[in-house]
Order: sequence, then C-alpha cells, then structure tokens
Amino acid sequence: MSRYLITKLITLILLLFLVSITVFSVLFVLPGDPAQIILGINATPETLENLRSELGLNQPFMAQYLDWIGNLLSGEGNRSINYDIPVSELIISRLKVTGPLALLAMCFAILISIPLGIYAAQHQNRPTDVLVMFFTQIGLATPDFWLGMLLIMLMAVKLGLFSAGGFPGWEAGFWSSIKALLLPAFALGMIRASVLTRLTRSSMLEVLNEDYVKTARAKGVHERGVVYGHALRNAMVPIITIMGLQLGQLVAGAIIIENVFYLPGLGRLVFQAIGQRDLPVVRDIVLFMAAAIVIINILVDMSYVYFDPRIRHE
Amino acid sequence: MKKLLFGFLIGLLLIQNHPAGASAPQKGGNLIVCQPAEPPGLDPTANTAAAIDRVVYSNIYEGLVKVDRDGKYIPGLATMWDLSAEGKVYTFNLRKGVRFHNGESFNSQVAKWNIERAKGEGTVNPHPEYFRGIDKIETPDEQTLILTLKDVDALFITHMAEGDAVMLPMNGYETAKSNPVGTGPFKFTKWVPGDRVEMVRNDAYWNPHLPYLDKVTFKFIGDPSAQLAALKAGDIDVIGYIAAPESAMELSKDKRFKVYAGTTTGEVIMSTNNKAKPFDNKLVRQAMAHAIDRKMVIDLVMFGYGTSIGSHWSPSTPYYKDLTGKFPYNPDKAKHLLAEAGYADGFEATIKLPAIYSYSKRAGIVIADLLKDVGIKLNIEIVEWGQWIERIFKKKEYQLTMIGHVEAWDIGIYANPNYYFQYDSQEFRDAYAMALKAPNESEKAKWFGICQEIIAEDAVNGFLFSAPSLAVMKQRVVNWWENYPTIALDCTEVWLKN
Amino acid sequence: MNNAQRFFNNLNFTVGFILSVVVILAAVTSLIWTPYDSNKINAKERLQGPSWRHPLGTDQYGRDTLSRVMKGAVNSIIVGLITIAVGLGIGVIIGLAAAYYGKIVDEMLMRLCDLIFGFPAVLTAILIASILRPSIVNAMLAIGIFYIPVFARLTRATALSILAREFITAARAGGVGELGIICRHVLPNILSPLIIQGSIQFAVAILAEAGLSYLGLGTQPPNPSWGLMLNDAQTFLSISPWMAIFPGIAIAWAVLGFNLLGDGLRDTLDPKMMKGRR
Repeated sequence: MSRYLITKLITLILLLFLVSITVFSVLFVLPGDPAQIILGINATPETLENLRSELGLNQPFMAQYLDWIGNLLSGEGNRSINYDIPVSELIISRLKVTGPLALLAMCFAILISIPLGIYAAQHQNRPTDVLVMFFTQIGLATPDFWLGMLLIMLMAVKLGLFSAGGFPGWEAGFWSSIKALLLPAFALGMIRASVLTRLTRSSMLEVLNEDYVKTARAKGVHERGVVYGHALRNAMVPIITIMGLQLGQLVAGAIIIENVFYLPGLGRLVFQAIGQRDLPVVRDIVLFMAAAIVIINILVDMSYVYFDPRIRHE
Repeated sequence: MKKLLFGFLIGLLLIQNHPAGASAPQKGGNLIVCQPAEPPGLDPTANTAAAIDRVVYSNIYEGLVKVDRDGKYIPGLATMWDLSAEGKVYTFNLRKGVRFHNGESFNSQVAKWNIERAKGEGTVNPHPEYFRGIDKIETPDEQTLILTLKDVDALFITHMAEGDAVMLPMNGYETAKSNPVGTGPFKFTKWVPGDRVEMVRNDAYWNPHLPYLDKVTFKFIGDPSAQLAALKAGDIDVIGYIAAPESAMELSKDKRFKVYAGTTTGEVIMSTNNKAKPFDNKLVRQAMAHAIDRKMVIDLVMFGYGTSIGSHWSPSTPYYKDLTGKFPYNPDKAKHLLAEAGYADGFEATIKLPAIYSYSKRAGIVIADLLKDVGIKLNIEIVEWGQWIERIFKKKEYQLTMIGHVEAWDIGIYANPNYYFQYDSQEFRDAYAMALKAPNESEKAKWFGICQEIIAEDAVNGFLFSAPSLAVMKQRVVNWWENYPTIALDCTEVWLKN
Repeated sequence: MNNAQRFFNNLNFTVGFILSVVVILAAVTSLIWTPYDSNKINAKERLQGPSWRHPLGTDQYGRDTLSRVMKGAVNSIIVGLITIAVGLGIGVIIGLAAAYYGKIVDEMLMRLCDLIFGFPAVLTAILIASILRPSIVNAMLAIGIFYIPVFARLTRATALSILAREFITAARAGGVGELGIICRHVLPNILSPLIIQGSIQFAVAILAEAGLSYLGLGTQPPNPSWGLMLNDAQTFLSISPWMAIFPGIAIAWAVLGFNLLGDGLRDTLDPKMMKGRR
C-alpha cells in the first residue's frame, strides 16, 4: 500500500510539474499585454513600461517561472493583478460557490440515479425499465446549460419562484444561498443522473448474475439483502469511478452553467482572469484544478479496495 | 482676458438644487447600485478602466474639479480657480478643513505631491501627459495651489476633472487599489471580489448637507437576465447602466421602475484602418458612410436607445456639432461612390469584433448585412479582448473593427497618425492644435467644431451612435443622473423616498 | 439484406437511424435550399413566435429560425466528424503505445489521459481561443484533444487483452515483426469497439460544440450554430422564449439520434457489450 502511494505521489508531482511548465509556456506566449489591458487603450507607452516592470513582465521566461513556482512552494503565494489580494484567497472564496454547487449537483444525481438504476435492473426489459432507459437517453441528449435556461424560463420568469441568476453570498443567509444554487445544481445533476442511472443498472445486472449472488440467493438471503448487501457494494466500483470523474469535472468545469446562472464560481473566475490577463490567477487555478483532478482520481482508485476486496494495490 | 471663475456660493447653489425631487430630500437609507463590470482594482490614477471610475469617482475620490449634470466644471476640492490672462497660470483656492477618510488633511502640499506623482519618473498614471504640461507648482500657503503651464491647454481643466486626477493621501495611497482612501462623501468599507464594493457615509464630508444616503453598495452583475431578476426581486435599487438594451425596453413597461436613456460621453464607431486597402481610399470610406443606416443600427443593436452621431463627439459634450446629415443613408449613392473609387463590383473585407462587448458584435452583424447590399462582403471575426489590444490596437492588423470610445474630449486621438485608425491629416492636426490653444470660449467652439467636421468629411471611421446611459431604478430612487456627462455613477446627491 | 434486417430489428438502432437521418437530410437540404436566407436581417419581422411564415419564429434580427436551425445541422455534423478524426488518430497511437510498452510509460500515459479527460474541455478551449482566436476550427481542436483519452483508453484495454492472447505469441515465434503484429492482429480487432465509441462521441461532440459556441468560443456569427443561437437567446428569455426553445430541441434531437444509433450498433455488432455505458 505504501509503495502504491509513493508511486502515485511521484506521478502526481511529475504531472503537476508538466502541467506547470505547459501552462506557464502557454500563458507566456498568450498575446495581449496585461499592462495594456489594465491601463486601457489610451495609456502612454511610458506608463505601460513602468507597469510592465512593476509586474515583472520584462523578466526572462525562466526567471518568471521560477518566481511563480518559488512563491507557491515557499507558501508565500502569488497575488492577483486585478484584485491585489492573494490568489489563494480568491480561489477559496470562489470554491465556496463551486464546491457546494458540485456537491449539490452530485447529491441530486446520486439520489435519483442509484435507486432508479437498481429499480431498472430489477425490472430488466419490462416496460418500466424501458421507460427509465428512455428518459436517461433524453437526459444524455440534453445540454445542461439549455436545461438551465429552460429552468430559468419556467421557475424564474414564469413562476417567479427562483431568481434568474446571481449569488447572494453565504453571509446573506444559508438558505438564500442554497436557493440560488438549486436550479443550476439541478440542471447539472439531472444530466449526470442519466449517466449514473444507466451505469448503476448495467453494473447491477452484471453483479446480479455472478455466482456469489446466486449462491446468496440460494442460501435464502432475502432479496433486499442480496441487492443492497451483496450486489450494490460490488457494483459500486464502476459507479464510483464515474462519480469521481464527474465530481472533478464539476469542480473544474461548471464554467458554462456558472455563466448561465451568473454564479461567481471558480470557472467564471478563470474565464474572467484569462480575458483580463490576470496571469497569476490563471496559472494558480489551472494548477489547482489539475491537482484536484489527479487527487480525486487517486482517491477513487483507493476506494476500490473498500468496495471490492478482490482488488489489492501492490 | 477671459476668466473662468466659480464661486463657492454658486457651487453650493448647484449642489442644493434638486430638479428631480419636488419634495425635500430624505436622509438615510441604503442604496444598492448594480453595474455590469467589476472594476480591476479601485485606483483611478493607475488604470483607465471605466468600471473603476463608475464606483469610486466622486463617491470615494474627488479631484480639484468636478463635473456637474450638464457637463459643466464645478468646484471639487478647489473652491474656485483663476486663469491668468495669457492662459498659462492656474491659481486654485483649495477648500478648507478637508480631511481624507483616514484623518489626514488635504492641503496644497498634498495636491502638489499628487501632481508630481502623476507626472514624475516611474509613474503608473495612464495619462501622465495631462500633467506633463505643468511647468511649475507653487504652494504659497496651505489653501493656494498655483500651476504654471508650459503652454496654453484648453483641456487642462477637463483633464483635472477626470479620474486620473483625483487626490490621494500621502499615507495610504499605496493600497489604493484594494483599500481606497479619499476625501469623498463615502468611505470605503469592503470589497468582496466577484461580488460587490461597499461604502458608508462620510460624516466628516466637507459639505455638511451631503450625502443623504447612509450606505452605498456597488454590486457587479454582468448577466442581463440576472440584473433584471435582481432588480425585480428588490435585491438592487438601481442598475447604473443596463447590460442589454432589450431589458430596458422590457422594464420601461413596468410601473415599478423608471428608465433613463440619457446621453453619455461614449461614441460607438466602426474603427477603420485608414492605411489598409481599400480603406485608404476616402471614397470607399464615404461610400460606407452612405451605406450604413444608423437608425436601423440603433434599432437592432440598442432597441432604439442611443443617438446618431456624425463625428467623434458626443452630443453631451460642449461644442457638439450635429453632422449626422453629412452622409445620409443612401445605398445608391454608396454604390456610385464605390464605382468611382474603382470598386464597381464591390470587394471583400474582414471586420474584427471584440468578444466582450455585445453591442459591438451586434452592430457588426447588422453592418455586415447593410454593406452586403452595396456589394461589400464583410467577414466577421470575433476576437478576444487581449487579442484585440494586441493585434488590432497595437499592431494595427485589421481592416475594420467596432468599439465604443468612452472618454470624453478624446478627439485628439485623430491627431496621432500612429493611433490604430492610422489617420494622417495635417489639416486636422493644425485645427486640433488651434483648438487646444484657443484662448476663449468662442474660439474653442470654432476650432473643436472644425475638428469634428474634418474627420466627418474624411469619414475616418464609421460614426454610429452615442451610447445611451440606460439607467433603470426603482421609483423611490430620487436624483439619479439622467445623463452621464462624465464616467461616474455619482451618488452624492441621490436619496431614497420612503 | 440479412444484415440490414439484423440492425433494424433493434429498436435503438431504428429510432436512432430515423432521428439521425432527419438531421442529415436537414443539413443536406440546407446546402441547396432554406426557407429564407439564414443570415438575412429583416428588422420588420424580429422576435416573432412560430407562425406560418416562420414556423419556428425569428430572432432579434428577424432572421428565420427554421433556416438557421437547418444550417446549424451542417455545422454540427462537420464538428462531429472532424473531432472524431482528431481523437481517434492520436488516441489510438497513445493507447497502443501504453499497451505495448507497459510499466512507467503506461502509467504516465494513462495518468496523462486522466488529466486530459478530467481537465475541462471548456478551459482548454478558452486557452486555445485566447492564443489563436475563437473559431469553429479551434473549438474542434479542443474537443478533439478531449477525445484523445477516450480512444486511448479503449484502444489500450482492447489491445492489452489481444496482446495477451496465444496467437500473438505464436505470430511472434513465427517471426512476424512488432509493427506487423500491431497492424495485422491488433488494429483489426479493435476496429469494432472504436466504431461504436465513435458514433457515441459524435453525439458528445454536438453537445460540446453547442456549449463552446454558447460561450462564444466556437462557431462565429453570423453563421448559425445551435449553441450560438442559444447564446443569442439568453437575454431574450422573457421577451421571446421561442429563441431558446427550438435550437435546444435541435441539439437534443441530434444527440439522441446519434446516441441511439451508437447503442444500436453496439447491441448488434457486439452482443456481449450489451450494457449501459460510461
């Protein structure tokens, strides 16, 4: 297990190093002078030059790269050009929106998909199963941001039950914030639920046909016990894999839905930061996202051992 | 001999005058203003972004001179100013007993330090040239500031009233980007990045009658539907300028709100590279001017909000000359001119539109359609803002683009042949120099008028419309600015009716 | 004849086939004829709901939505084809390399795939658009890159199981070169899972293009794309909801069609794999 962890850790570090070099190079050649974007189109060349040297933009590639990594490693961190506050602060404040949004979306997805998938598997090829599968097909085909727009039209514009977007901030009250996240989380969750329902169904079907399940049935274990005690736990491996993947994508990639609902999340921050050439912010977030994705993958890998004792990591 | 003199009393009278509210102003209350763009920092002396001025100008920071609702210059931190006969020496009388929010007093030394900082080596002021004309700064006493210019500068006071010239304290200016300290009617309290900036009433404001509000919050909501929803839900009181004009159209039908569609300093133009073929040909540019139906552009892009312009000058700026009749919509005339220029069969060109401005993308689509009718095929290319700055603005790699120029009094950009229009006209440069050196009002009006005419005649750019102010607010918000003659959302005299 | 019947006995395939054919027909027709010029502005007929003149209404410039939805189909189909070509081309090579070399190469390549797959395609697209420029070609590039791990993983898994089989050992013993083994034995055997996955990724590409165009990173105006039409509709949700409804239905329709087609292909070509996916 410890050797396994060490291998994973080394891969993580190597990958992050690779990502950091890539991101840095990409942003280095990114056209668009941050100084000019900050100062606007009527700024004089002299002012531009002064700001450039203040931001360290005149330094050579390696010096800038080492400066960036050095700041990260020393724990000093980098500062946003725009907000003039540490990037870590910015990331944390945005994670307070994106994190709960992703979790809420996953909650919707799991609450809908696991029972529905099990139900469909138990009723394989019967009309109810076909119906469930039909709806998951529709779910797979619907863009989540379009579902978001439809929800806005129905719940906000027509019925006036929700606001059409924006986020009040957690200090404005827990429930009003949750309410602002409900529609986007639902839109995100429904689409992911379709994937998970299908997966749960197929995974369950496979497991239900395995010998040990048949044995358990033969031994007279109650059907409910078979399904939830034996089968589900074993069927969880592929489900967890996909859930991990989805969670990673939600943390990093809710950019479109954050745009539809105008939520100040991580996705919007990076979208904005690229546009405004707030390069320290872009670099740090990309690195953060990469780390999050790889770590979630490792955690998912490790969870296999729990769900399927047959899997052992060497 | 002309003297620009404004007395303190006149200033007070102006401030105490409330045209919009018949009843006496009520004190107190908490105003939540929405503006689409979050400012990149809060220091207007280090960045020209309009979003900064809209939050801090006249609210947190003040300069020597302010702009009133008619676009006139009124006393700010200077109670009056006096111009010497030959037009080079400005004597400012500074207001007594003014203190910054951190307790520092404002006096002639502070003003001098601010000016020196803006014009000195290593300045990060985007417009050091505003101050470079100052030859000598004298401070005979605490309340007197004498500025001697190298040359007459007709726009000197104009520039002193801009965000670039607001006064910062000598201690505490370093954090102006994130923690602004000024002399204005409101004190900065908090900035929640990505969401809002909060400020509270400055009880020690130099005008004891102002401000009326206890607290002002600027909330940044860029999404038009979210703006609308927030206003309808009562989460915000005012949308300083609405992101989508169609929302204004929708709200104007709602009794709970009022819509102001006043003028601003901004001109939306189809910028043209005057050195790129075939736009180096004046006839081609004039043909395009005839081919554009400005009314249709305003209808389709702005839902009818906005005023046609014929030159690079907003109707809200003094000395405006209406030149919209110079090139009326006339496709036949346009085709004729194109034939004369040697393009009887039309030609193909590319228009590059900045992605962040929806009006620009929309106008591009409409104009491409209009120009198609006279045989000009426009390919649309959307460019990201950073690219626009780099490729179009700096390297001039473009034929046509579309952008709003928001600064007032910026016609001087046509005098710079290296500006991205690449317009090179000695005639204009001479006229502009005459305008800058104009010793009196009538001379100024004459020469600035000639400037407007020259670029209109040369059809340097496609002059489309002046952007509307488009403020929407609850009925209880009183005394909001109907026109925006300067880039600001000044809440000093705004109050809330109970 | 028999083969076709086998396919059409499958409900998924039949429904998917019909839906996809409608999309393809709409696309082909639009190349020759649309009810109106899809890009022509008509200020007098803007923001209309469905009517006989404009069955799907008009947008804020008075452009006919039906014509634009038809033209948008061409766009979606091209995006699907090209992104699959990119993903397939590079993904297969990476997958084969990982399966063939194993060990640390395999681990690195697969973790890299995790990363590319987990890394939001949108962010990649934004970066590409910022460096080059927003355009449909660059959006295709971003989606294609996202596809690389999908095909790489599939290739690797299939290739691993084939490489472990006895006939490979036999071929090696018989003096067949490594390149020969891959070309003659491995590639033909992974073809059918790749085709099945390809049809499903085709549907995903349509979704992805819609998302990117919605953000303004894909198809450029005035050309119609379903995602771009949804972007235009965003500020008119309360004024003219029709603008947001029809392009969305078009997307869902096309994606559903190609998804079902892929499922049907899988059911028919590979009955063993008859289970949910992803």
